[in-house]
Amino acid sequence: MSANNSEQMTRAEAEDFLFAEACLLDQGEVNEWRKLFTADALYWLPYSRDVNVDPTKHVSIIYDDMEMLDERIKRLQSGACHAQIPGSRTQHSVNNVRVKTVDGVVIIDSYLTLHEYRANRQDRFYPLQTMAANCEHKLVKQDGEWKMTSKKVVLLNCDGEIYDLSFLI
Amino acid sequence: MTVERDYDDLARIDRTHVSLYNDQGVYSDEMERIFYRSWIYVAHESEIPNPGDYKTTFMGDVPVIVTRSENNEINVVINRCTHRGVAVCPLEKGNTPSFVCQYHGWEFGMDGELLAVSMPRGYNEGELDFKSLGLVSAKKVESYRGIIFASLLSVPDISLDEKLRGVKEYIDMYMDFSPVGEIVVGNSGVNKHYYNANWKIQTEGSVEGYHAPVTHATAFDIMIRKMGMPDNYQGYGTKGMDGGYGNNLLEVYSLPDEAVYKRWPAEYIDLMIEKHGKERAMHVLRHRFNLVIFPNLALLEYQFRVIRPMGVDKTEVRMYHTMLKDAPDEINTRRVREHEFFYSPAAFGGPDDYAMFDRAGQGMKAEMVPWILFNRGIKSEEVDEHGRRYGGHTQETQQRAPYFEYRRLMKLGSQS
Repeated sequence: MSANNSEQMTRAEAEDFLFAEACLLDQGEVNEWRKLFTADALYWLPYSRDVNVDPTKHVSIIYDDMEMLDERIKRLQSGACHAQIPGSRTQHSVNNVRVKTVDGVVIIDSYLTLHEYRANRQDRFYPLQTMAANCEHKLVKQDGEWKMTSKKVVLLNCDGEIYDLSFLI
Repeated sequence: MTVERDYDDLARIDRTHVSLYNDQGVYSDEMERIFYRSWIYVAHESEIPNPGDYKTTFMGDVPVIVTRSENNEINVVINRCTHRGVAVCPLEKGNTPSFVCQYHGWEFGMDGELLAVSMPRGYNEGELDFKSLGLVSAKKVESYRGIIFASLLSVPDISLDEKLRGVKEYIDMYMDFSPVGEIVVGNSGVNKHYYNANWKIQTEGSVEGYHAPVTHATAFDIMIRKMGMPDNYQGYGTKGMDGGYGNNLLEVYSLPDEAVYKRWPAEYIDLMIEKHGKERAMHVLRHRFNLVIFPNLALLEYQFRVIRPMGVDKTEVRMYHTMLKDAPDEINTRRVREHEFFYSPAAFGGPDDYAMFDRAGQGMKAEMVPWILFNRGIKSEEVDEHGRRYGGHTQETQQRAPYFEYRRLMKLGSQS
């Protein structure tokens, strides 16, 4: 992977990228969303707000290389992920976007407000869930396209009581 | 006027009545007779390693503090100021020389003793009895291999030694996955789940062999293909066992030597052999099991699972990840990855279990369909040399087991 050290991203471009990513997730275009990652990327939801947490010594909510992410997606699409019957609707709202470039890698910090809902459940009255998170996207340009080498989502309540996160965030 | 329930009839040998999962009166009986008067798991000693360390938790509905005193004594006290009922400790864990209630400044020692009150001169002679106003202590606190149990309101009718007699070999094995026989509980993460149904569904569900190939088909497929997990449904699966006093076991597999070498790296096996001797090391490493210590603890491969009833139809489940002291980093990292793969709220296994438990909460509202069935394999059970009943790992011996102790404690409680 060759990253061009001169690559920069404006805040508007960063927002466009995050909005497009959110749109793919919310419209269920999961295979298209998967293509936003580089082959050696990491998809990480830590269980801790500690920025220095060591994922080899501390359990994460998600710590997927792309092989595991492919398994996750395959499972979600299999119809046999019972927690996702019925499946979640999500709405990812992105804000407070800041961009910097470090060693040729563009780093976008953003806030995420996520709404999640499951309609048509036998037990009815599924509460509309609201989640908040800090996101860090690391991007490089490959063949003229921005790709994620890492997506890290740190939930505000990552170390609290959580009902279920069986959908993509 | 309350009518005494017939727990022999409600918790039968081969079935339980749905009211055990729905009825507020049953729940109150369980609190009084099981959660306040028998051995309840409260903590592991590695969670409070130093003098002054404490952890708050619950025994049934009651908030308690587990503390380590200056003299290294472990205490369990009710987190309730004896003055006006305020919880004296607001945090999950920490280190402190004493607990000072922030309402009126009453100060208690790590063993619960009342040390001081604010503005003491406002009390007249005879109005303040320090001796009787300490935080209320559990009647009995004991530990085995660092696992701390307490009984809140009375001394249990059986010793902890007797309570654990039938399953000690498995507790020992759990600890001996560490080359030095010690584990660290919770430092590497705690999953905090809840579901909308009765606590006993998780007690039963923690040793479920039958559901696994149905509920977890997608997860098992990945574990077998990618994680070197033996396919226990094709020959390695062993047994479900009644370990006595409600304790019970799902032995997921017991591997032959060549499969042990596929499951674990040679470096770890060699270290285990060096520390434990060959026979013991191989005995430990060939096993994987889920062990329920009735009513609120389950030891699974990489976790201490703590089950907390929050009313008759809501349950909190905390999974305290466990690390092996002095094991190679590679092994502990594998414990981290494999645990989060299956059990995190975004994982490949756990969310499906909690979906089933929630659906159980829905289905069981139909009280006119009264019975929950646990009769699978009841006619093919065998008894081992220690007198423990066992059956195949996908049978229901292990789900029947808790109800022997359930009946005993619920009937015993009715007499007191």
